[in-house]
Amino acid sequence: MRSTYRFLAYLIAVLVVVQAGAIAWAYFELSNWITSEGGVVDKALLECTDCDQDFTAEWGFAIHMFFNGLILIPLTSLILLIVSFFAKVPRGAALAGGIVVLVLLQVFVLPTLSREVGSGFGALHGINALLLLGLAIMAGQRASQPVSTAADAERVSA
Amino acid sequence: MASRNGRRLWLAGTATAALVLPLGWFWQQSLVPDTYDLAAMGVADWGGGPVDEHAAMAGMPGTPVAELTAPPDISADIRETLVVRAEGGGYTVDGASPGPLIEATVGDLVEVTLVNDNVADGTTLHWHGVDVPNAADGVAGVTQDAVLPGEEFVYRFVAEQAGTFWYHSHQVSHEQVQDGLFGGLVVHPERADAEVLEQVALVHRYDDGPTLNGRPGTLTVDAEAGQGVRLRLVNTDNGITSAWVTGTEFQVLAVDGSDVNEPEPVEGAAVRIPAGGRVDLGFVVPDGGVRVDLGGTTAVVFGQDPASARPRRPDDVVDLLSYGEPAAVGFEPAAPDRRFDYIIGKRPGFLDGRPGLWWTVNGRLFPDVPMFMVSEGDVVVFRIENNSDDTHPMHLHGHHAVVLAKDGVTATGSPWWVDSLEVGVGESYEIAFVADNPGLWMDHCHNLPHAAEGLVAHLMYAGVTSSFVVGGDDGNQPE
Repeated sequence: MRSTYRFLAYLIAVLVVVQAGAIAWAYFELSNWITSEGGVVDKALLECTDCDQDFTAEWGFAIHMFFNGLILIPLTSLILLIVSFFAKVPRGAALAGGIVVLVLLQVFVLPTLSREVGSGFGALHGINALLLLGLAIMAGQRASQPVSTAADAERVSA
Repeated sequence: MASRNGRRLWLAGTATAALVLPLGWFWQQSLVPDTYDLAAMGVADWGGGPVDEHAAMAGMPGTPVAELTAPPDISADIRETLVVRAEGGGYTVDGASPGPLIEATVGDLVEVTLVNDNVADGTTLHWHGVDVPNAADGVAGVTQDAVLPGEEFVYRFVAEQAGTFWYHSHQVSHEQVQDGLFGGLVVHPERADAEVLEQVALVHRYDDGPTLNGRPGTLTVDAEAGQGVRLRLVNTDNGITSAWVTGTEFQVLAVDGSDVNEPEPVEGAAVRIPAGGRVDLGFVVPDGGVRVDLGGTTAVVFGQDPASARPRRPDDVVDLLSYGEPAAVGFEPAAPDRRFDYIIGKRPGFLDGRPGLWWTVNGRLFPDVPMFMVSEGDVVVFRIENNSDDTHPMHLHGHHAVVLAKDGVTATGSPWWVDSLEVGVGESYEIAFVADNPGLWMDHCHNLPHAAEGLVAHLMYAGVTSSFVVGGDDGNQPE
């Protein structure tokens, strides 16, 4: 269970890094498409569910906003939380809970505020991603540490 | 130690159950039966009007939707047969997309026979913006069964209103319309000005790019200087688009098939066309020609192209709330018989078992959406409010509503009649109409994937009973 916990925590960290790469890739390619090919982004394009891709990096948006961002990361963090109940990781459940909270902020709250209130919340979305990355790494490290002290051992088995 | 471990496992199991069981319960509750009667779904909303007429109808025979037809004894003035096919990865109507333009004159009885050659899911035709009799509305599972391959269906309606309209499938509509199953419909006034050049332009983004009347790029129309033009623009996409005119001033002659009263000349402002909406522009072609850009991807040019490069969209937008001059609307919306809220939101949840962020109507997810109950003759006021993070082009079937106010600001221009109204993020509209067309009518978002995601509700008349079911043997799937 401990190694599963460690694996899931580090997996979340990796997926957050993938998110950052995917969105930057997509926006650079989008900008190239507009400037060099005269591409036009309008509401009809955004709302077209089965339009041909105009550029490869549209996968970047799909990864960021769907496969990875909306499905994989929330699902992994939920599984991590469940695993944390069983894994004997010091403060493992608290860390996993914190990860779930940051994921909820990241996936639901901040994007909604960015669209409904002001795009400035998008900046918090970026900063929150770094917090999530940090917390996921911390959780992974916590699960890697040997159970050293008697106090820890006591807490772990409690 | 063993008991400690046991207690720990028990705690962990309980915590897991506390997390998973509610999710499972919400999932289970969200499942929609494969077959259901729209009139038996959702939450009845009486809008503050009398309940008894409806209650009295419960269990009593009413008029079935299928019998709400145009008078059968009137013979057709316009007769068309439209053959629908799946081909080349999309859909065609009579071998092309868009399908043929149907033209009628006010008062004509239009009779269209839809033939489904090979569309496996079945298909229908909805007459977008035309207040047809309910049985001709073309909504699978609500006003008819989907027309399966090899089958036919006859639509009959009197074209009572001159204007620009369109037709499209209302079976698996979020796929079929996107992939080409639509066409234009123009109802001419009794005495049309023969001097005016008429041009219809259907805006559509197919899988491989944006088009005007099915072709990419610029549509060039021969026109001499001094030629008067009526350009009928139809937005068949899922998102709002804009039109802007270069080379001359113009008027917004009509919106959603209804003439604007005393439209003033406009220059340097764009006109917005919601998904499903129509706008007629009028202008006189000057020596240098006229160019009308649509969404920055396609354009119509009359005569010479007055622009050397693609003109930028003006920042100003024609505000239809104050455009034109006021006129009587023919009813009194100040003291309505029923007043409904249609409040759109978004929240996490399950939609028919699928987890995600979904649209809500009045705080609830589909299928717990309101059924707006009306009686024939009621004056009805709707407050549409968009508290979600995307815009919604709201489309009411079978009726035209007049905009009373936007964000609390009362309309001061020409009566602004709509059937497809763009409600932006954070915006609210108050609209009114007379319930004068009995039936069971969809009232949904015309960003068709949104409708498929549950942003649908409907209007139900007292004394009407449903004739069809969603699902069923014909696989009716209106969205």
